[in-house]
Amino acid sequence: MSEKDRKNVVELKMVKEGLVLVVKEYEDFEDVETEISRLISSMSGFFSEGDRVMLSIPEGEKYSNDLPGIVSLLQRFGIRVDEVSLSKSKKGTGVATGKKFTGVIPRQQEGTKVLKRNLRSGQLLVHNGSVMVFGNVHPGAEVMAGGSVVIFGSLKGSVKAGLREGETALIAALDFSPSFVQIGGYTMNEPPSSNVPSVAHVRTGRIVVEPFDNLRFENRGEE
Amino acid sequence: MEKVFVVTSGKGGVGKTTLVANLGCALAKMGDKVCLIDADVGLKNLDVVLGLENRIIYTIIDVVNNRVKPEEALVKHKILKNLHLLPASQIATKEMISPEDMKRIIHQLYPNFDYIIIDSPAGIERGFRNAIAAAEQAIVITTPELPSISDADRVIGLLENAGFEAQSVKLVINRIKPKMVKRGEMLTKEDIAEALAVNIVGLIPDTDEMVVATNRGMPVVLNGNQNVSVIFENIAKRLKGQPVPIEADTIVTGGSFLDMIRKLFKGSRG
Repeated sequence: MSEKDRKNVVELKMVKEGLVLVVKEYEDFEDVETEISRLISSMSGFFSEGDRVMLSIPEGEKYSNDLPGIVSLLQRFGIRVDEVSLSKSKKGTGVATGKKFTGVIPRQQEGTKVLKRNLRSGQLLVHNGSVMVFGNVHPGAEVMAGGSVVIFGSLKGSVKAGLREGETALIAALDFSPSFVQIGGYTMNEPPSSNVPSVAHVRTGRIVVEPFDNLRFENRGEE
Repeated sequence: MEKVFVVTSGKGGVGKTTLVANLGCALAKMGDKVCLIDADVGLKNLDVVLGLENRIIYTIIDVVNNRVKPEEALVKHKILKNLHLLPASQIATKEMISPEDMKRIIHQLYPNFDYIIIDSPAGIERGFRNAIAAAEQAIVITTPELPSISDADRVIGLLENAGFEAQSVKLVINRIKPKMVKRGEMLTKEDIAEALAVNIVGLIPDTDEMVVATNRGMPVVLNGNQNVSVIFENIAKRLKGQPVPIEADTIVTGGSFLDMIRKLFKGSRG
């Protein structure tokens, strides 16, 4: 990738609703990191602690794995991401796939999203708050939530929880055999599977999976 | 009552074309007027399976380009006079047809037929989108193997996104080896039903006759073992809305008579 292409990877746009950081097609995630850092440092004085931007990744489906990285990078600069759009269009809600994919997280909607069907291979559910699924999450399906994810059914796909809330989020399912789980910044490949209702949560710096009737949450000094 | 069906699978080689040909024959045998559409442009097979490859004059591409009307491109089956095929072109590509073209063609054919069955190509790209564009119901076919089931799940998801209701997506399981299922070496229909969470409308056994029939260009429904053709007739009846229990297929696909009785008493679901 030439120097010029790399510079075009990240772009900051002003729209009616506010600032939009557009991340275009890229090959190496490091390029994005350096470009975002460069862009923000070059505009020092423009951003201040707690500023909000919208993140737009037109090819978002391809890069959904890098999304938490981009969000946390911006957080390190004190910038909050309060809306993520993973599609070319800006309109649309939670679930879809393929060309019609939209993963817009509406700014106001931070409550719990309830999905009353199965999430199938290739389908992605993105929500800023917590997510409840009344159905199964099939292998190849993915849930990305700002908060916790509770599945009243079997979990065989991949779940990323706590993308906004962090490591206090949890992942629960009646039949727990996901392909991948992430809570906040912690990831777990090949999680242990269990056919009793189980909960994955972060304790002492790593993800643990425990049956629902034998949970030991980390004491974080909350109530 | 819906009458436009698409048969699709995602994965290739699981038996889409064979199912379309046999289902078409079964419905035509019952006296319905049936039109089969080969949407696998560039890799056409349906004409070969039906034994009509030497009778094609116009193809779907001629219809799309307004050279002929859809009715003029239809090829009539040799034996079943109420079975028609709209053939695909082998030299064209799938990009030469758009979902809107398919909708228009099927709209024109709609009043003249009792059933229209579309044979979808493998994959989930343009050809697939063309095939499902005008369909009212989808029949997803899978074999009892994990790669095929995983692709079927993806395809059902895409169908849902395209606006298909959960009850208008049906599943057919092909190439079941009853002996292996009995020995616990193959996924059972219950395993697959649980993994995919859709209604099963047919269980097709893996038999040598199917291979022979396909190569002879004579669908097994027309000239084959009664046991096998009865399964396709059962599927056809279920699509027509007649309540034929799925156990009627298992009589042929295996499970001893005793197993069947046991199932009946358990009141197992379809």
